[in-house]
Amino acid sequence: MFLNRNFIRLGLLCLLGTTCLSTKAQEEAQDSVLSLPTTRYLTLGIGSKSVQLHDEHMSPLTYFGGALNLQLGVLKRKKKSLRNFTIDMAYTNLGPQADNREIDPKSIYFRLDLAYAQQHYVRSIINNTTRWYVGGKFKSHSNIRMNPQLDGAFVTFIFTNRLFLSNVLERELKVSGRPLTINWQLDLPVINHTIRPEYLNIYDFVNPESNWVEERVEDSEWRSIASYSNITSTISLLYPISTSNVLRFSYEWDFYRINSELKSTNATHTYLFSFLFHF
Amino acid sequence: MKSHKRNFLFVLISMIVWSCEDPFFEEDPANNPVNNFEILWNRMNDRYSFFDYKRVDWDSVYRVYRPQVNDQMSSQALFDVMQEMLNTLRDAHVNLRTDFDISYYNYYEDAPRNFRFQDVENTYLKESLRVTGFMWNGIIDSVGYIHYGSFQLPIEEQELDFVVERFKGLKGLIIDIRDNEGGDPLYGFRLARRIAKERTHIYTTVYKNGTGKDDFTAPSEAFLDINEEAKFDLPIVLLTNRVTYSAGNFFTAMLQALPDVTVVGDTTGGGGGVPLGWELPNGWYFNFSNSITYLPDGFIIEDGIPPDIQVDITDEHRLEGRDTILERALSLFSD
Repeated sequence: MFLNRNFIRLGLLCLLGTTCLSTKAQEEAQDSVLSLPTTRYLTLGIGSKSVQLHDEHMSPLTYFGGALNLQLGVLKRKKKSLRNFTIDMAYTNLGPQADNREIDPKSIYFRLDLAYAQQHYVRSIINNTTRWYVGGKFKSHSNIRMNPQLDGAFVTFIFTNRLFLSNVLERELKVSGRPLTINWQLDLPVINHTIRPEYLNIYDFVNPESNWVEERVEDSEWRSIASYSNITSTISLLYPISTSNVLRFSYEWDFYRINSELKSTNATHTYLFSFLFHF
Repeated sequence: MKSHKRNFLFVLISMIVWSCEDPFFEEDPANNPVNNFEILWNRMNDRYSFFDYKRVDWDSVYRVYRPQVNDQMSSQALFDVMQEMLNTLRDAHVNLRTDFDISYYNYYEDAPRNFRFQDVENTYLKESLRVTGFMWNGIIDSVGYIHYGSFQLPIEEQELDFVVERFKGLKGLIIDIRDNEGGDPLYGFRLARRIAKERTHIYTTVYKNGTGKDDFTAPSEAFLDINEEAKFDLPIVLLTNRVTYSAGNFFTAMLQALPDVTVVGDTTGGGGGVPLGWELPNGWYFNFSNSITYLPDGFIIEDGIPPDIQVDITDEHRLEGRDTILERALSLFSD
C-alpha cells in the first residue's frame, strides 16, 4: 500500500513536470517548423535491454539479466500528429545477484511487446521551441519466464493489453549545423486487461488435454491502475543521416508492478539504435 | 546559453523517472541457514495442500526441527535437517535440490516389489514379445499384454494403431504399469482414450491458492474425451504395484473410472498432488504438492489407489520366475 501511494505520487510528479512546461508556453506560440520531413519511416532497431524481475510466484529472489533487443516498426509523422507502430522482442537468461549461493538459479525470459501510439499536436511551448503532443497508446505485452527446476520446469507469464495516456514533448537543437530532435514520451496506463495465471508446470499433470487457451481466457481480468501500476518513459534523439533517412538513439524505462497476493515487479532499461528508412 | 539551459532542463525532467524503481523491489532475503529454514517452512505452511489429509501438524514439526538449525551449521547439516522435516509429509512430490544432493521420500520402501519384467518376458511372453515405441507388448494365451515402464517415454498414436490392430479378436488386454514412476500424463490420456467408449468424468482437482488453511480453488473436473481413433474393444485388466506413482497413479484413477476395467496387484504408490516449486536464498530449489485430486466417489488418490484384486508375489514364486499378479489377471479371461 505504501509503495502504491509512492507510485501514484511519482506519476503525479511526472504529470506535474509536463504541465509546468506547458504553462510556460507563450500565448502567441505558433507551429514550429520541423526539420524532419512529414513522411513515413520503416524503423529497424537493435539494442540491449536490462531486466530486473521479482515474481513471488517463482522465487523470493530478484532476478537480473541483459537481453538482446530487436525492434521493428512504422513511424508516420504528419505536421499535426505522430503515429507509431512497433514490435519489440527481447530474450535472455536471468539470474539472481551472486551472494555466496550454492546453486545459481537461472530463468529463461522472453518478452514481446506490440504497441500502437497516436499523438496529436496540442501547442508549441517554451518560446515556441518545444512541441507538445497528447494522445493514446495501445500496448499488448507478454513475458514468459521459465525456471528449470525439479520434475520438469515451471513457468510464469503475463499477458496484458493496456491503454495509455501518452504525452510527447519534442524540441530541436543544432549540432554541426544539422538539426537534432529530442523527443520525450511518457505513457501512463488508463486501464489493463490481464492474464496472469497461477504458476504453471511445463506440462499439465492433472488434465493435459484441457483447453488451455479457454482456461487462460477465463483467468483474465480487468485490473485498475492501483492493482497493476505501470509507467513507460522514452527519450529519443533523432538525427538525419541523409536527405530522407534518420538515425535514432533511444532510451526507454519501463516499470510495472502487479499488486496481488503474490506480487510481480518488473523494470527494464532499453538502449536502442534504430535506422528510420523513409518510404 | 539560455537555449542550452532549456535543453538541459528538458533532458533532466525526462530523466526524473529514471531509476526510480529501486524502492519498489524488495531486498533479497538474507542467505543464512536460519533464514533458509524459515523460508522453506513458511512457504510449505502457506501452500502445501495435504496437511489436513495427512494429519500433519506443521507447527509441531517446526518446534521439533527449528531448534536444530543455527547459522554456524554446514550446508550438509542444514540439508539433513530440512530433508528430515520434509519427509514427515510422506510425499515423494516433496523434494529439495542442492548442488550435492536431492531429498527424496521413498514411498515404496517397505512394500513387496511385485514385479520383475525378466520373469514376464521369459516365462510368459517368450517369442511373442514386440517393442512398439516404448510399449513392450505380446500375446499370452490369446490375451494381449502391454508393459509401459515410464510416462516420461512418449506413446505415439501410430504405435497405438499398430497394437490395437495386433490385439484384435483376442480375449482381453492386460496393461502393466508396475514400476512406472510417472512422467507426462498426456501419454496416459492417449492410451486411455483407446479404451473409453464415452466421455467420462475421471477425477476432480482443487489447488491451494492462498495462505489460509482452506484457501483452495473451485473444483476442476477432468474428463476423458473420446475420439475416432481405433479402440481396444476388449475387457481390460490393469496391473499396478507400490512403485506405480504420480502419472501412473493418475492413469490408474483414469482407468478405474471406466467400465470393464479391473485393477489387479498392489495399491499404487500415490502422488496425487501437482508439484509446485520455489527457491531458497541460497539457491536451493524445492517442490511440493499444491493440489488435491479425488475420484468421482470422493476418494483422495494421494496415498495410492487400492486394486480391485489384491495380489502379492511371494518370495517362493519369485524364485520360481512366476508372476502371480499376471497369472491372476490371465485367469480373469479364462473364467
